[in-house]
Amino acid sequence: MKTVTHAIAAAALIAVTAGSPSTGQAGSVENMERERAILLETYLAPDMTAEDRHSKANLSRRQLMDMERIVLRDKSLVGRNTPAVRRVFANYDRSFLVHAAMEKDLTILDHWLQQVGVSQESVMNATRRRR
Amino acid sequence: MTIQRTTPIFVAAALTFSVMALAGTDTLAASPAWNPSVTEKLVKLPQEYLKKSLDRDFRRSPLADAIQNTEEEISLKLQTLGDLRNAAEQADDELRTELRHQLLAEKRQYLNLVKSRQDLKRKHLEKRRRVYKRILGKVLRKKQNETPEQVELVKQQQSAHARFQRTVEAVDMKVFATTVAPQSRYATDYAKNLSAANALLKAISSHPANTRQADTSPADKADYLRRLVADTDAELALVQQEQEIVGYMAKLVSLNAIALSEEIAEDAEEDVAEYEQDASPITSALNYFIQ
Repeated sequence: MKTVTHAIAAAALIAVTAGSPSTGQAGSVENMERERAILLETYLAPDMTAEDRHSKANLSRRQLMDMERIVLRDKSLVGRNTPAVRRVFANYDRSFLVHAAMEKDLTILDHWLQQVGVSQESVMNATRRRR
Repeated sequence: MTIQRTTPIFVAAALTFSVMALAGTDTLAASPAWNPSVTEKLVKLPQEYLKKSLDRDFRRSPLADAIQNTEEEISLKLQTLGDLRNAAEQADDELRTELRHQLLAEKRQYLNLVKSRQDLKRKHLEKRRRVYKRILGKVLRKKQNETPEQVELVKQQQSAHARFQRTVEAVDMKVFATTVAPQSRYATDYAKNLSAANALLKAISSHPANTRQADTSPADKADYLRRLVADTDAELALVQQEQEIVGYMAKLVSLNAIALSEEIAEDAEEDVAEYEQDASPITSALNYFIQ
C-alpha cells in the first residue's frame, strides 16, 4: 500500500515537473504583435470615420490588453531566447502598449507616438520642405 | 588426551593468522550491486524529492538487501558472543578452554561480518556520491549553458512582470471607469481560475509535508547537491574510522588467540613434564637407592 502511494505521488510529481515547461501559450507573442499592429493601423488609417475608428479601436484595445496579459503571465516564455521574445521584453513601453499607456494616464496613440519620438511640439515645429 | 589438546593449539594458531589477515583482505568477490542511472528525470526532480527517489531506488536493490541481512547476522552474532562469554566464565578446565576457543572463533566471524557490512556500506556510499556528483555536473552544465543574452532576457522578463503586477490593479480600475462593456471572457475566466489557484496555493503552503521540506531545503539545487556530496563524504569518513576500529578489534582477537594457544601449549608442556617426571626410571628408582 505504501509502495503504491509512493508510486502515485512520484508519478504525479513527474507529470507536473515534466509537463510544466511545455504548457505555455504557443505563439502568444506573435498574436499580441499582430493585434497591436491592427490597433495602430486602426488609429492611423486615413479612410475611416471617427465613429468606426472609435468602436474598432475599443474592441482591439480590449483584445490587446488580454493578449498583453497572456504574454506577461506566460511562464513558458521565461528564458526563451528567440528574437521575437527578446524584442518584446527589451522595451515594455512599446510592447505592452495598453498597460503602459494606462499606467501613464495617456491615450494609447499618444503613448505610442511618444515612444516613437513624435510629440505635439515636434509636429508643430515641423516644416514642410522638398527633399 | 594429547591429540585433543594439540587441536585447539593448531586452530588457535590458524585463527591468529586469519584474524590478522582480516584487515587486509577484500571480501567482495561476487558482491551484490546497486546500479542507479542518472536519468534526465532524476536531474529534473525537485531537490527535496531527489534524495528520496534515490533512497527508494536503493532500498529495492540487492545491495540494500545484503546490508540488511548482514546487519541481522551481526546482531545474532552479538547474542552468540554474549552467551559464549557467559558460558566460558562459568565453565572449568577443558570445557572452559574449548569455550574460549569457540568464543575466539565467533569473534573472528563477527569481525568478518562487520567488515563485509562496512565494505557493502562503503560501496553504497561511493556509488551514491558518484551519482550526486554526476547530477551536480549536469545541473551545473545546464546553468553554464545560459548565455549572457539569456540571463539578460530573464532579468527583463522579471522586471516586466514586476511592473505589470505593480500596475495591474490601477489599470483594471481605469478600464472599469472608462469602459461600459463587460469584461472579456479571458479576464473573467482568469479571475475565476486565479481564485481557485490561490486556494490551492494556500493549501500547498500550509501542507505539513511542504513546510517540513522548506525548513531543510536550501534555495539552490546545486548547493543542495553539494551538501549531499559532503554528507556522503562524512559518512564515508565514519566508515573509514569504523574500519580502523575493526582493525584494532581484529588485533585484539589475534592477541587473545596467541595467548590462548600459548596457555594451552604451556599446560601441555607441564603435563608432559609431569608425565616424563613420573615415568623417569632413574628418579622413580631413587627411592629405592635412598634409604
